[in-house]
Amino acid sequence: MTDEPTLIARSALVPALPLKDAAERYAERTGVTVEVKAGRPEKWMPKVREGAPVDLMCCGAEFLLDLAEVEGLVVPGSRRSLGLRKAALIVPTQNPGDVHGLHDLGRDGVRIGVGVEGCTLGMWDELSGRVANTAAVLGNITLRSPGCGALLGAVARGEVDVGIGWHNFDCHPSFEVDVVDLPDEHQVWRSTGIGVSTSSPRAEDAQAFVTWLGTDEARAIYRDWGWLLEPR
Amino acid sequence: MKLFCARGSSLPVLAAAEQFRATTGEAVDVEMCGAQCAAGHAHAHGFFQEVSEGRFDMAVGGSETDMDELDQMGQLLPGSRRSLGLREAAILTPAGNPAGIRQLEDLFRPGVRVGVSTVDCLRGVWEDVCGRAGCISAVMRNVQVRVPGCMAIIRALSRGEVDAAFGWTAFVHIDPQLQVVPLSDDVRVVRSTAAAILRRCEEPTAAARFLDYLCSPEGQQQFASHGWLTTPEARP
Repeated sequence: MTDEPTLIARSALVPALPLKDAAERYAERTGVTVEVKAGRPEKWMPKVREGAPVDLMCCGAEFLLDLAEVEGLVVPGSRRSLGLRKAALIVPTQNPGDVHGLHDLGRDGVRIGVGVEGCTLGMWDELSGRVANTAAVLGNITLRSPGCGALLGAVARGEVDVGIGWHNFDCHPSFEVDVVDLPDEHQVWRSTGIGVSTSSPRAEDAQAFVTWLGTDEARAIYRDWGWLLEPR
Repeated sequence: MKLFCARGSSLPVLAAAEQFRATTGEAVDVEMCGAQCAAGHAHAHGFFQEVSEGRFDMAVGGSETDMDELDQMGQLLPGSRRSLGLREAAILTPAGNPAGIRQLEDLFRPGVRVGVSTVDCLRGVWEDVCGRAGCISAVMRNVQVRVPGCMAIIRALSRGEVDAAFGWTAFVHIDPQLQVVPLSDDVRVVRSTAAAILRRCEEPTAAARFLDYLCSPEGQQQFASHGWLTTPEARP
């Protein structure tokens, strides 16, 4: 292996965790290195538009890659779903706001944080719609956060009593939070997806990595990080 | 009083505005997304840019996400947002349903052309429906048309450019030729249509009166008759 990365992948913050492990394993197997650069897609996508070097793009929801594909930034047909995450309530450790389900979100005084960019966009709308308390939830939203990292930070610091996030948000080593699972009938599942950049000078190599991510070995990495796998 | 409305949500708003004028004598000038909305991608020129131009007192968006974005942009008068009702996601097909789409599983069939919207209220609906059904990868293979917004989806269906698309059941009030393939309760997605007074509103009293009217039984009846779920009992 050389010091220079063979491929550069831009990834959303939390999806970068399994992707980095997968890239490490791939390098062991093939000698091809993949450098994973983590951050908010809303931050790095404009740089990709301006021509920043990137071979692969990974986002926490397919609708983000839909938009990238429409803009001509993703090679059509190159995308793969790497696994699903399901919606959950993220609370500070010890759950001081005593939040145990969606109905608690409408309680007087509960401070709710939601994402207004990135993969959790609009989840609160669907979740509250399913339990018919949109107006009550809307009235309790005290934080609109630009992405998962900011939301996790706000929850961890106790700036809100609950954030609308994903069931495996407690996997990130930088944020100490607890997760309140939701019943299946209220769930939203979204897919973490990856695609090859149209600007990649190594598109064949990038596509080979995407294909490898569909192997049992790679899927096991995602499962270990808490992603849920669709049947093939 | 000037109101900007997402076109896909405009029928009940126009009807309510007419009823409001007949009842109170107060006119509400409702403008909707034009061709620019359908042509633009995301923020290029669409709902958000039109609302941000400062010409309107009030806005109606097709999902709370849209209103969250306006809120983030500092466009909304704090505390003025109201939910006007929910729309239910469905599979829509062109007139006559030529591809014989009867259920979600039909969207996996080889050669079926699926359309989705990448912006505004329908953004990601396909993923949320298919996520509930565990078939994101299977459907993604057949997503061949990605268009910006409700009206672009309706147009793609009307022109037969897709065999099926993800939309709202209420779309049949916009184009009665469309056919609805309902989704089962376990995979159905609902999103709220919302209204708010804008920060640069020049007619706050009139805007507040019309907002109250939209939420009144008379206003809510307009939404219900155009396919929205408006009562707690009607909601999932």
